[in-house]
Amino acid sequence: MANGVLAERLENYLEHKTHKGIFAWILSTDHKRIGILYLVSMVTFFWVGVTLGFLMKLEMLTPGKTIVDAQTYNTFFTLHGIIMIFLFIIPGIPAVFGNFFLPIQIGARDVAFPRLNLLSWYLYIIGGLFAIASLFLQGGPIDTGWTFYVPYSIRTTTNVILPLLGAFILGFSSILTGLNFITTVHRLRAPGMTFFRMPLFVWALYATAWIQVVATPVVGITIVLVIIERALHVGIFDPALGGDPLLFQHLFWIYSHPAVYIMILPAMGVVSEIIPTFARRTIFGYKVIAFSSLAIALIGYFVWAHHMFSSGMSNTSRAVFSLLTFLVAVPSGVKVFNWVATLYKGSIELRAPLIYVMMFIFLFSIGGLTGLVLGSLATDVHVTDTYFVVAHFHYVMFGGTAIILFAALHYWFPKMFGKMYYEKLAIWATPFIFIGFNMLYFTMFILGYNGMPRRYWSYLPEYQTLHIISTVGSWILIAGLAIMFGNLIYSLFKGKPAEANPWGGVTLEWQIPSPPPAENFEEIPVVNHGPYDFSIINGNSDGKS
Amino acid sequence: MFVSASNYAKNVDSVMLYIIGISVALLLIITFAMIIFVIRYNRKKNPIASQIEGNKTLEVVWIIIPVALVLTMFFYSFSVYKESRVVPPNAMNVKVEAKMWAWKFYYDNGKVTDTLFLPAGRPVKFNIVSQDVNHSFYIPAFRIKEDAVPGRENYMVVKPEQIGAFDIACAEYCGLNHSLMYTRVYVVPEKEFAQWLNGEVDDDYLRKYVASHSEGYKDYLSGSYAILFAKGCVQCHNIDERKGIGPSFPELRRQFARVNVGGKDTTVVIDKEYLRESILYPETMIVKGYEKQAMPSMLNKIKDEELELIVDLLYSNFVKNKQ
Ligand code: HEC
Ligand code: HEM
Ligand SMILES: [Cu+2]
Repeated sequence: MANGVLAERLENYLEHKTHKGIFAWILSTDHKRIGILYLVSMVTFFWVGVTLGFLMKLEMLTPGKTIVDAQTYNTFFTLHGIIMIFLFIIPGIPAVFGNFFLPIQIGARDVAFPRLNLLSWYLYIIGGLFAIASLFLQGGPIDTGWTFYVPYSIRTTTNVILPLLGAFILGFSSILTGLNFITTVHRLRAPGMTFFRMPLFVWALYATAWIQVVATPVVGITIVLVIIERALHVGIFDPALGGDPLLFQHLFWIYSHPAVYIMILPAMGVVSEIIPTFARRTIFGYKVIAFSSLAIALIGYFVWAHHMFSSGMSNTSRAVFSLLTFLVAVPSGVKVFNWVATLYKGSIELRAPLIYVMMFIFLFSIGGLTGLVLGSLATDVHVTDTYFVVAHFHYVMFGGTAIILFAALHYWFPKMFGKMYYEKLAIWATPFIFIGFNMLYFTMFILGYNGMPRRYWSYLPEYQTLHIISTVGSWILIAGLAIMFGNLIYSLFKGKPAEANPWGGVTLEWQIPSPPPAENFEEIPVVNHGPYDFSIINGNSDGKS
Repeated sequence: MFVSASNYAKNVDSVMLYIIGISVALLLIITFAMIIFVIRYNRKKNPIASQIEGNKTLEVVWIIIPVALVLTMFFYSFSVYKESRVVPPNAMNVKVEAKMWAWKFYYDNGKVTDTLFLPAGRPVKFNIVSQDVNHSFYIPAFRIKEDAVPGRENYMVVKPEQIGAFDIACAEYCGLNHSLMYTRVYVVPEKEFAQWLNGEVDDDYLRKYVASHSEGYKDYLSGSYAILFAKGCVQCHNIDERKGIGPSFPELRRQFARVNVGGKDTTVVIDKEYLRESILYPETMIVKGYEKQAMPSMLNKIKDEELELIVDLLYSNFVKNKQ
């Protein structure tokens, strides 16, 4: 059925317009167009977040005031955190690439509930606008940090309720997407597409969707409680009103720790797609990888309190949560071993997506291994709430998830837009990103171990040298990001037309034209082999079907 | 850099080295394997891939080894950490009270201070409380912190060993001046500490003792604004640009102050003398716009050395037009 001649007669999804002009996008229920809507809005938010990060690092150039005062700095890191977490990295890969490729990879024409899917995007945009609106209102933007800890979030005079409502609405968007994906995976698989023939990206999205559906309501309720407490002075979390601040922290992290896996699991799924394609061989340990996603999703629920080792829990809780945290590290480690093993005796073509994946393996390993320092009680109570943690989560979320989002952007770019990006330029961007990234964040590990707390507008002069290196790193990194995005945008207009299967991949998306037809498949395919069965093309002399 | 001032701190550093050592080894193995495979199995050299679906033994091995490794980390770390949670019978109690944005320390005999003084070699149990929002009582040189949470009392145990002065920071975000909520701990020998606790010697005696008996520590401020917090100046003066009850400290950058002297407006050059006068005799020169409420005089409330410290600090950090 991978027949280009036949497929060319079909109108592709970019030509197929149900409405005029912009409405062809914002009223479309095509999962592919919705994926692109998310992509455009998320990249926009990402650059707002990057700009704030750039300004923060500029402020850190000297102790005391460099460019902004303390209040402004506090709103900067809060908005930076809210944007990067709730508007960029959590929706992230599922919203863009999950939407676009999940139906295609399982041989479906769309997700189970296409209209609900569009509604999710609207909720996402409304939530995002709420979160940012506080910038323009009296009282000033929120200054609580993205964690909204009470009692400060009850007492500050800045606009807290609006961004909280924003996060609440975004939660709904996330839950609905999760529901949609779970149903799609259960109901819409093509004939012959058993669970163990699903690509690992689909497995990862499936595990993620469960976390989204089960964990997100907890944060929704917590947010509503904070709003009630702030607006009506009902004592829930604030001891001055008779509440308990630790209760808030527990509820918050019961969601926000699993949310970490919402961020990383889909990225792991993408890695499990890219490596087999460029190594042209089957993945090493398919079932182990698939089940470790589920294991992570499951154990991930029981480690939330490792964010609270210093907040006053009992000694027993501290010990138990530390032990469980160490154990949850193992499945992620196992995945890394499996990926590296998949390169063994492959036939490897080193293209930009694979370079990003290698960068990911290095950066994410640093992020994961420093996570051991944070799971260990003795070291954690020293480095928690310092720059060590700031470094750790940037390595995991940025070096992990965001880098893979970039990998996915290159990997699927030809399929999504029917154009090739410029390989040379794509590769040129990577050393900037890699070097800039490590200068920016590795220094923060050292700062943190030396005792510089996070969320600090000013600092002791002895930290300055490291901050200068870090700030210069941020410039190099941002230059790299600009080259990368610049290349992709330029290629959108000037790129060469892409073949249906430029990399020689074997999952279903590579068997249909680029860009895909509006209905994906002319005829629903019948699947009779596993997802990474390269024997079908290895008989072929050039390796491409 | 990496000052560690107690045995506990050194033990924490050992745990850190253990975890980092293993981590670096794993990272190197992963990275080298990855790079070698990419070179060795390049498509040019290896046009046909081998389809290896897995290897049971290998996979079991690389599950079991990491589990074993992390278990050793857990037990080692926990055994070290216990010291900070178990209260020895001879421990001294100090109550730590956090408040936006200053610390207060209460000793059992009723003494209250805003910098901390501790005897070397004796375990201390800190009972940590907060008056308003969350804070975190953090002494990097001791490698330990514990949050100050309103409505509850948290504790941690520390046994200082080395004579010296070490920073105390707030590590849980607490609003505007979070990053300025520094104070210090002075660790002195038992004998000097006892004299101080009984009121035989004053704070300054201990500070000078520390200054002359420890390396690297000569001035007791080193760039932090601790004393402005300790003396309550920040209740009326902000360290950033916002106006408080009084003008903000950054406003001292203007070359001349417009003041009201005995009912007449004049201008005065902002120099060290002006700072001294403003702090000790505020009513003689009231800053324009603040005539309704002059600053309370600090005469007899701060010592001469403290005044000089404050003047130097303000002069070097905020006054821009130096003659
Ligand atoms: C109760 C509030 C209050 C406290 C506490 C306070 N000040 Fe003031 N301060 C003021 C006010 C009001 C003014 C302006 C009116 C005046 O000149 O008396 C002022 C003026 C000043 C000025 C002159 C500022 C200028 O821009 O010309 C200096 C310097 C100063 N204070 C230093 C200090 C220091 C140092 C401390 C702590 C030891 C302190 N103040 C504590 C209220 C306070
Ligand atoms: C060039 C890009 C970036 C720069 C320069 C940057 C810089 C920073 C800095 C300096 C802080 C620490 C602020 C402080 O504690 O005082 C910070 C916090 C944070 N960053 Fe980034 N960052 C960047 C990208 C990202 C990305 C891609 C993510 C997520 C995927 C992210 C997520 C966060 C979060 C969640 C916080 C914590 C905010 C808080 O404390 O409430 N950042 N960033
Ligand atoms: Cu604080």
